[in-house]
Amino acid sequence: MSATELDLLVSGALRIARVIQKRTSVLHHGDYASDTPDFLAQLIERAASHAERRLMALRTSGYDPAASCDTARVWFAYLRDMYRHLRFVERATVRRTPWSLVKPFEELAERLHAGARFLIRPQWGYNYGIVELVHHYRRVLSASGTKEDLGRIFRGIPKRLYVTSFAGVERLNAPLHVVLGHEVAHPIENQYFSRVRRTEGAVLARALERLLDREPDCLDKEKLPKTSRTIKTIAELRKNALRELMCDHACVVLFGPAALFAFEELGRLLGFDTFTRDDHHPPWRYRLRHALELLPKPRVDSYLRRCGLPRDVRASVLNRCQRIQDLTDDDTDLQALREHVDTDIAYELVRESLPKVRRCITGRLANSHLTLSNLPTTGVRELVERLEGGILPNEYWVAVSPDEVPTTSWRERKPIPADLRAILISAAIDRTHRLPSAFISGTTQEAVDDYHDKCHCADRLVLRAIECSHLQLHYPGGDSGHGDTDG
Amino acid sequence: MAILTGDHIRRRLESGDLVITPLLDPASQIGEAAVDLRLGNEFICMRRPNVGEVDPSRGAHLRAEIEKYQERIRIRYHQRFTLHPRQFVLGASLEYVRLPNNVAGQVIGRSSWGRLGLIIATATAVAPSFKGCITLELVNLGEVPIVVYPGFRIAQLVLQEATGPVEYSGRYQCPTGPQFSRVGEDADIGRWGADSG
Repeated sequence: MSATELDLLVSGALRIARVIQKRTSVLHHGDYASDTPDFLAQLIERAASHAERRLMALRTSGYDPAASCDTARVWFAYLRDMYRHLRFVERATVRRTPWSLVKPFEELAERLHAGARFLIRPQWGYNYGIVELVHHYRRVLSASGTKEDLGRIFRGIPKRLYVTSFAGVERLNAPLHVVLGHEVAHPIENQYFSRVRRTEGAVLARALERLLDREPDCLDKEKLPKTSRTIKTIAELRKNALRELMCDHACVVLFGPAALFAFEELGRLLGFDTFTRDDHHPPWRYRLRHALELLPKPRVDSYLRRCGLPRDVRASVLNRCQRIQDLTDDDTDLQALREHVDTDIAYELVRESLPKVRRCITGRLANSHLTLSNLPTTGVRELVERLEGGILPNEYWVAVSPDEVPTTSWRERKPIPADLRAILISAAIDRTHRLPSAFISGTTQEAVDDYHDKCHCADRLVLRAIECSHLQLHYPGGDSGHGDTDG
Repeated sequence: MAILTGDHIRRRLESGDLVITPLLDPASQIGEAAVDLRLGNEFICMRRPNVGEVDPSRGAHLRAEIEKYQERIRIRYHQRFTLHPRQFVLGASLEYVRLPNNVAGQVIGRSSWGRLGLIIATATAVAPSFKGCITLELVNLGEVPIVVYPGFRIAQLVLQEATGPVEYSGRYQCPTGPQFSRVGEDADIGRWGADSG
């Protein structure tokens, strides 16, 4: 590369660094539901400013084209990534997110990961996802920055910042957003797999053993390259399947039946038996089967009874559980997995490791007092009734106990703000209760449209309820003062 | 039609018959004969771009026209909203209301705000059985901008017992924020327009 070409490359990179800083200064004034997007904007701005200083230093130090070329290219690539990351901030505005859900969801996620922040943003793809950025930036910048530089860049920035994505088209579909509970469990499985990295050799050995059973000549010299690739694929398939199943497990613990129904909804839309070899995610039918193992129909029934839900509501929910059970009795997914040696062996290994990973995730959630047996039950019945009656499901009423300090407002009963989990579970139960009448065979398009209108109305109520209950929980005032009758 | 006193309102709230939620500070919000309503965080602001006029007799086209000329915005709690002199915006009550079928409501401004030039509502009647956040028409008739924040107690809801039960059949079902006008859906509005003459 000539000095002129290098100069052009550095100029191009500098231009991007400046565009990023200009853009972030605008993004600082965006309307976000929490301050997490602002943290990310700050981090990107400081990283771009650091890149600019480095590039300027490169320019003023006099080029040694051979040595500087790689440095300039690396900075150009980093800056390109930083610019791409700006879209996370840009899309986290209240107009594009189910904004009332953002803060309560962040709080729930922070119960699992102290000191971490979660940015929620829509994506065009029909999926949910998560990516960590603070650690990423630290890794990228630590190669070029001094300790002081890094201190300046990361001052006041959270230890970890996760960007969680949801399918933008489902912005208002509150019951589906329980899938975010799956996403916030990914850091847990990441830690688990980092911890057990030392045992990966044993996994490879087990994979090879199984492969030898099926293909005894796989260690022949000419087959070795293929065998090596197969073993690598098996290990990846196993690991990715376990990752997803661990996170599904967490989602079920967080949201109980609402998680089952959200998985079913996604499976129905994306295909129950779809298995893409790129991301190595297990088919939805497989995932539903494992979710049902955690929360089988009798356990759902017992939960609904503890909630005190009426018989017809319980029947609708149990019918849906039965439909999911029927879906998982069908083993087309397993047959498809058995068709290929690598997937067959990988999923055999998944079955063997599953009890261990389940213990890990259960223990980790239990540390934050999140277990299947303490799914919220109080108030769920009233929240469902309120939704059915077109009322915000943000609170439920309880009797004022005789030994309580009396308030000027409530004599016999008082309202208690519902928590996020209770509201989302109620939303899923309410939707399920509405479902069968609209989709019985021979139903009219009008009935289906009516069902969708009601769901849309319920979604709005649910999102508003989440906002109101959060406000009630954090309202600094209280039951004091006197009415203003002056008008 | 008897006006409900604060005590009656509390009793009806406790029985679940009347819903006004969230009541963040019931002791101060429920007065002798009214409930103070807070300002919500969603607004519909007017834009003045390429819409020459709003002609309600155009019926079906009207809604699209209105949505072109009005824009829905949301602001955070503790974020200011400035209402400039003679500016008109639609806001909504923070509280979601469900009236019993034998209780009607009247939304009225609070004189403290009126004295600053802020007019709260022009369409004040709330029908029995109504469910939803109440849309507030906010106008600054004063000479200087007025800053408001979501959560400010900005209006009052006076409740009156009706002489009999009534089921709400209006066009605004369970709104959770301010609603665009749907005057074009009036049954006979088209008959009076220029095109029908």
